[in-house]
Amino acid sequence: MAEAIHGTIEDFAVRPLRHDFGRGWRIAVAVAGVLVIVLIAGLAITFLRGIGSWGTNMPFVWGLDLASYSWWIGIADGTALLTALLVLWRAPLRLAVNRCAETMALAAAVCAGIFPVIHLGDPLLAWWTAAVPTSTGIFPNPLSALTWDFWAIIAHLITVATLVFIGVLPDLALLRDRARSCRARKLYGLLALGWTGTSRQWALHARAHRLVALSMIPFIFVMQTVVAMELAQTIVPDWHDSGLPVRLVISHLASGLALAFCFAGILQLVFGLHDEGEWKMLDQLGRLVLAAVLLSAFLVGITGFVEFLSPASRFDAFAAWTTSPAAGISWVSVLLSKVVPQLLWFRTVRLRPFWAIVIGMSIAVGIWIDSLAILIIGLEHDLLVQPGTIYVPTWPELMILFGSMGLFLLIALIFVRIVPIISIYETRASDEELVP
Amino acid sequence: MRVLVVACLSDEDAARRLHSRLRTRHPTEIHSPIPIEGVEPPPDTGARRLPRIAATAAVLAATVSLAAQYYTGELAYPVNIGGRPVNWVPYVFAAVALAMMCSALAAAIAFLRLSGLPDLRARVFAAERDCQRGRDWFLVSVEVGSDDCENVQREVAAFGGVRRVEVVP
Repeated sequence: MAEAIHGTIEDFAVRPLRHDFGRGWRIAVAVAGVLVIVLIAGLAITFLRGIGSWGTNMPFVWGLDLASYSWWIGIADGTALLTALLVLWRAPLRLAVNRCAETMALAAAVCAGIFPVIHLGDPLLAWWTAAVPTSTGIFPNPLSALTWDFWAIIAHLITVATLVFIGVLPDLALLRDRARSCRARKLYGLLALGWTGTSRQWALHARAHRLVALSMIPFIFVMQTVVAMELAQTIVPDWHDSGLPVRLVISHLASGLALAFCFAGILQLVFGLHDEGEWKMLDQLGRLVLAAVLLSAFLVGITGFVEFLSPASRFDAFAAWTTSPAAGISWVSVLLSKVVPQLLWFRTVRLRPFWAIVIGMSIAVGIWIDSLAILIIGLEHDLLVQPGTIYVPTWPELMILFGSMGLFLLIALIFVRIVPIISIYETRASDEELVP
Repeated sequence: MRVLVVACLSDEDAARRLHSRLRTRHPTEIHSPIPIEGVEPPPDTGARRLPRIAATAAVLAATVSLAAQYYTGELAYPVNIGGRPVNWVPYVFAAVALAMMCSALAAAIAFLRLSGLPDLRARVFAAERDCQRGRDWFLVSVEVGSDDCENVQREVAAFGGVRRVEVVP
């Protein structure tokens, strides 16, 4: 019986690798490809005409670019945290979710990497943020958030890529051994680096995989804090708050977990695995998402409560967040990222892939709107300049945002065609064998 | 001259038994698509060294990062012209990010090095690969002198569960 289930899971895992894999995948790649073209066009407009082509203007110095950056970082961190915890705990959930979460973490980090470069104004000088003397002979300022961005993105990309590679190595060797075409055998052979599955290699692999997963955890928090500190270190009243980094870290982690939940729902709906373990997986992931959302709501509540206990001031961030002319966006974010997920209290909802997709997307969109609300309402509330009108994004900004979603989708779609979407060796080995 | 006698098996238990029978007399390895319970890796595997290597890399990277940031921010081009004390907190972000990246990279590189990877021309690849195309396959490879080769080949072939035996020069 167990053998039969493993056979089914294995078939499911390698189904996207077959030549005759469904037309749906090709349509999805075409849609993602069109969006990537839109991204390239948006970037080209920005490069040629400068960031003056965006809707950002005093006092709205930041807009969609930073909101999207913060959002992508959140997704990258949330999914990376999930995958690291699953590897460390050897949770049964990892079999179904881990590879997808790893893929999403990698793709989201690539998408996040675009934004710090383009919002510099002159992308050709992006290398000035690296720790090398610039053409003037001066090193970049280590107190600048731009240098933190550089290290955070580079380190995240390399570490996630390392985690993915180590996790996938035995499966690449398996695909090399089963490859029918010479080209596929050569490609997988090169990627598998000559893995032969000796007892020595398995013992080292298990330990290295867990060590790399362990390395992910501290710097996920550092990376999200970097984004939040970029805001908190300014003098804008709404942002200059020691609670903001914690609030952003938790809400963005919820967004990453929600996207993994949504992706697990899509996998189940599209590929149709209907055994008990799969339902249990959605249930557990749903509980995890609900816990993150509740924690995030608690932190927002605490911010409001602290402000309520303090003497009233015209710089009150929470009051601006809830009652300013642009407060509509923050209420929409509350509805999508805090209210809708309350449906996850019901087990019947947690077990439905359809609801996993709806609620996961709702949280992800809600958190993106939350990032925008923090920026717009904060800057609208500026100390120096009273804005005449509210910030409105322009076409190039929207093109870059939707294009980055296409890039994310394209990376994920290509990845599922190259490596199995479920770790084959982990489905076949028991935990005692995997943990030395 | 040393040769490799490679046995192909489709049964995990048989592979484990064959491995434990031969490993006391010859350098023997077991190759499998999944980790096999009860097969001890060779004593010189060095798996316990990996955490130490990763931790050392993390400490070194954090130290170098803090020193580099201190140098660039305080010595090469001091931005604290008002005489403020050194603020170490902003240096922590890049230091932790680099420490964790180097820790992960060191663990990965040490894993590859200790595993003998990359090794695109591993001797076991020279054996017939039909065996590895099935869903369940296990290889047991024994390194022997050419004088001993025939005896070992005969002994392995007679072992229950062995589907094929090959000699790789």
